[in-house]
Amino acid sequence: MKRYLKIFRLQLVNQIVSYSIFKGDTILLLISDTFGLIFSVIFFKALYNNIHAIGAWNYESTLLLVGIANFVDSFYRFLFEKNVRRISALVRKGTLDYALIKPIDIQFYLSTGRFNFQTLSSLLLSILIILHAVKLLRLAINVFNVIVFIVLLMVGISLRYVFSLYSSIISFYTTRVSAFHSLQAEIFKYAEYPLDVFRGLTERIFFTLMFPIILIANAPAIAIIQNRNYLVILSIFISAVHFYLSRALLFASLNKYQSAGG
Amino acid sequence: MSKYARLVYNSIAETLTYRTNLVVSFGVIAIPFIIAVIFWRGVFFANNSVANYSLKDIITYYFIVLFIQDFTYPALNYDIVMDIKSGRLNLLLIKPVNYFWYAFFLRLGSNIVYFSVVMFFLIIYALVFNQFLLLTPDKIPVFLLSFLLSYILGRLISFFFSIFVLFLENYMGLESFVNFIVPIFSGILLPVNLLPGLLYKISSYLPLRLLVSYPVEMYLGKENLNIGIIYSYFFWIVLFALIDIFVWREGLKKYRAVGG
Repeated sequence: MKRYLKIFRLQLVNQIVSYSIFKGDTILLLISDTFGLIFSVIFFKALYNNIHAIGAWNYESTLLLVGIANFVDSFYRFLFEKNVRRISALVRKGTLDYALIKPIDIQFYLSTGRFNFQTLSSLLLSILIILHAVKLLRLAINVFNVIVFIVLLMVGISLRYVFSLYSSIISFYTTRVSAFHSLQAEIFKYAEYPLDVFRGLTERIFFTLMFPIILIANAPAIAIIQNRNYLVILSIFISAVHFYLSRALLFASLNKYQSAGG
Repeated sequence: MSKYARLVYNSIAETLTYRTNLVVSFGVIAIPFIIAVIFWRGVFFANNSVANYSLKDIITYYFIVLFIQDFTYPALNYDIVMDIKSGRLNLLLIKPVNYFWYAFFLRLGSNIVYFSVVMFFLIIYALVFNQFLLLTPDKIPVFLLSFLLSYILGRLISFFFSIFVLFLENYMGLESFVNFIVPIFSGILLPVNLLPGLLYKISSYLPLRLLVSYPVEMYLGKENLNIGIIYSYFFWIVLFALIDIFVWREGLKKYRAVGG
């Protein structure tokens, strides 16, 4: 574990140096990365100007959802996206060989090392939105609440990572997977929607088990707003199942790797 | 086969090369619509109307947006951007083709592929979600006319954004700017009528609303293709045609053809 933390720290320092070389470009990317979050705020502001609530969700609680969903997405993109999306290129070019011969866990190697610093702006903005929403909602926060909230955020980040890994694993079987990445990214964009829009049982099961977008922002928000933690165990369980499934699939798919490249 | 028809043919062939990716790409287009149906159905379960839109209006709105946005969205045209950035534009400038029409027909090829496949999906959706869709056959002629004008305007604005790269070292800032303002002010994010006050005011001074929101609102019967709107279309079309000519001429003077 200590060895992996040391590798992680070295990778982080390395990336900070490379980002600091292109300052102008980095600033531009930092600004543009907040656009998605601004879209969401405008969308819900416009909507709630014309309606009172969506089920039990008013503008303030939906703002909390938007903040959480974007925090999870930004954190995933900061730590994992560049790495996981690179897998298909490694498979296609046959350069995965270099990764396979390294004395390190292959999933760790493929999932870390490249950080996306442009997401730091939306990460920060998401935190500000969460704090603003908490203030508007006048929530009573205690230590237990905060711990549950943080655990559920980690569950959300893990789920986001796992589904991206699923998309990359497809690259062992078909050449181009960019559309699969776009597809899962598109689905997870809707994590900010209030739970009450998913009215049917089939929808709720599908978006909890198959594409668990409900667990990403709604579970932490419900835990903190309503002090109801019934989604905690379910979230952790589903996240663990998907994590082990993705790991098993990755190793099974590595057996298919032919190092063909070209 | 004429040279421009050949361009359209080649563009179709290129788009069809990666079929799996292509099919999944249409999933990317389909998912937002399916989730929009789920979302708005949830919204309308607790609310009778949103502004003056009913559930059918809203679902139909996004259904038509799905169909027209690929044609009218004024995104940076990557073929043009890459021609400029790579220096390949040099080769094209000495060929006996008008570059605007070259880029236009190249784009038309991928539009045709999109149109063919998206129509297949739209027919399926129309059958599955028919209870959510508003049928206004009497509005189809004005919608088609408005859509045609939007298409021409969209291509002209897209060409403007794309050739603006002639002045820039890096196009990413411009692309971010375009992808930020267009969805808000064109009506892709949500009907422009629903925008908060200040944003709504800004949208009325821009041509972007003509690209998506107006054609759809005409289909829904919320706007009429009156003489004022037709003037508005022609004003912006002529203005952007002139701007394109000016930017193209001035841009070529700045173009260093370095490539790389």
